[in-house]
Amino acid sequence: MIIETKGLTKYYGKIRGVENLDLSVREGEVFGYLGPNGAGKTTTIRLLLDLIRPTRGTARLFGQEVRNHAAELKARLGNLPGELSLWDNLTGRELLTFVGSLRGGLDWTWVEELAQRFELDLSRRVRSLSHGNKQKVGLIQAFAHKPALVILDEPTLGLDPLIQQEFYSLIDQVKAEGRTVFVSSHILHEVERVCDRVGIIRQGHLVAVEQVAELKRKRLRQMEITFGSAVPASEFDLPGVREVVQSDGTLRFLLEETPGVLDTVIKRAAQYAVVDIKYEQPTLEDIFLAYYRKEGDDATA
Amino acid sequence: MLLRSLFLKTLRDLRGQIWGWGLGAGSLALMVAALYPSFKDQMGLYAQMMKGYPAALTAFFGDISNIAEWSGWLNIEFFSWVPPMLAIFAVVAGTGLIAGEEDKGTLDLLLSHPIRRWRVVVEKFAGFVVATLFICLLIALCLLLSAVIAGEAKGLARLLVASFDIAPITLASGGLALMASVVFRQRRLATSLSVIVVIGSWFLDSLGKVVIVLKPYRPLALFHYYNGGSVLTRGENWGNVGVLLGLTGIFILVSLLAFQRRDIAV
Repeated sequence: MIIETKGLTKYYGKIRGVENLDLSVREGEVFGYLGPNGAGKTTTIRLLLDLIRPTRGTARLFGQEVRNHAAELKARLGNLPGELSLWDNLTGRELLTFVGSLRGGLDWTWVEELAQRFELDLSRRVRSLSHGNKQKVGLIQAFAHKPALVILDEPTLGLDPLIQQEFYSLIDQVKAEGRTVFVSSHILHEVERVCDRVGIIRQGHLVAVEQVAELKRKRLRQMEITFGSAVPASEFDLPGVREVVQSDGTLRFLLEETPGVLDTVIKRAAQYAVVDIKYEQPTLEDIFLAYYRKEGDDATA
Repeated sequence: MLLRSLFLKTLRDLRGQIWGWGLGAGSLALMVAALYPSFKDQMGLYAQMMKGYPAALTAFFGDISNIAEWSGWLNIEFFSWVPPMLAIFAVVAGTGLIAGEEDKGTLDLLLSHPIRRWRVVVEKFAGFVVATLFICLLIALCLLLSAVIAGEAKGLARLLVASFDIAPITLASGGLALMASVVFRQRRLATSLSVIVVIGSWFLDSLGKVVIVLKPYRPLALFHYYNGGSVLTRGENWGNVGVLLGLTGIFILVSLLAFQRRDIAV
């Protein structure tokens, strides 16, 4: 295992950070760490980096406990901190020279290639860069030494869509080279695009670990149909339709993304006078509610 | 070039402060020197005026018995005032070393790299030490120039020693500020506490010269161990230097231990 935590728990005084986290990430996989803001993603990453110390439990990277081998382990990983702060009186190139010196130098051909791919001007002072461009500096320093493990906290924050695509292809490349990526995100489609497996964290608890393919299968869409007059909920008691709720002329329900379900629903709706249809990608929250309701009070609170 | 290590980067970050404080104190030296000749002519008057002051007040300003001489003049007008001013530099820089980066959030990025925590403290403080020595060097150069202006070419070696005698008290103040910032985590709190302790210790020592009830407590004050202008007349007191450097060492040791154990704030 490249990352392994056992019973990892962090309290900030009485405030819960994460609790009893058992996480394992295998070599060569891209592991997504998915959860709403404040769920404990950054706390987990800062524990993995020995920036904060666990209240209980252990965290291991490359089989070694981070608490005792932090500096050696960090030589083998690259990290993009969440809510990135940079030394803004330096230029991008100066900043990379400095962090490179902490690693005994960098391969500048690769750094220049990264800068070109991300369309970043390394000669500009960090202070004068937009949020997205600062994020690019952060990404470049995380990948610059071709580490065996890359840990990224909300990496695409502030990146424009084209650069996001470039970032995804960089992840693909890292994966193809057999290196490991641990990426936190609150954006479902991003995780689906780049990850092999996903851990879902909610209120400090790891509520599920899934293959991305499985998550996609379970994905639900939300539909809301308003009719000219009230339609009984039982009319939509169809296969692939869940949790139908009626209020006056409006029906709300979740649809499984399996072929044919949408067609059946539309045809059934067509038998009545339809005033309005809303059809939405579910939020992460919806997925949690739909699938983890039975996981216990914490998952539904 | 100045980005090849954390030590050098720290020095680079302090560049502005080195020039500002070094040349600021240096220009004070030049001003004091420029005033000396005209003062010297009226020293009788001035000494008489000081005689009229209560003994307590004159004692507070230091040893004025030889104020009419160049060394006494420098002692009162320069060496008594510059270290408490530089203590402000020391406190600001000292709390900035770790807590400054922590407040800005850059400490997360720094510690994402393979550098041990104790090394962060040591390299950063080393940068501060060298910055302080650079400031002393600028002060020394300006003082030597002042001596030439004032036509006082004797005792230049002691003048040089006295310039660098400002370093130990500045390092101790900086070490104290670093320790406070590591222990209390918040830069603002650490700065306030350190200013209170350092400037309070200056007052304690100065007032202790005249206020009898305070006198026994003078050894508790950092500034009690600052030699100041007495270096010019009596030479360096290495015991005092040792006390200040020893305290600095203790402050750094506590900082190392505290920083090793604690969480990095977000």
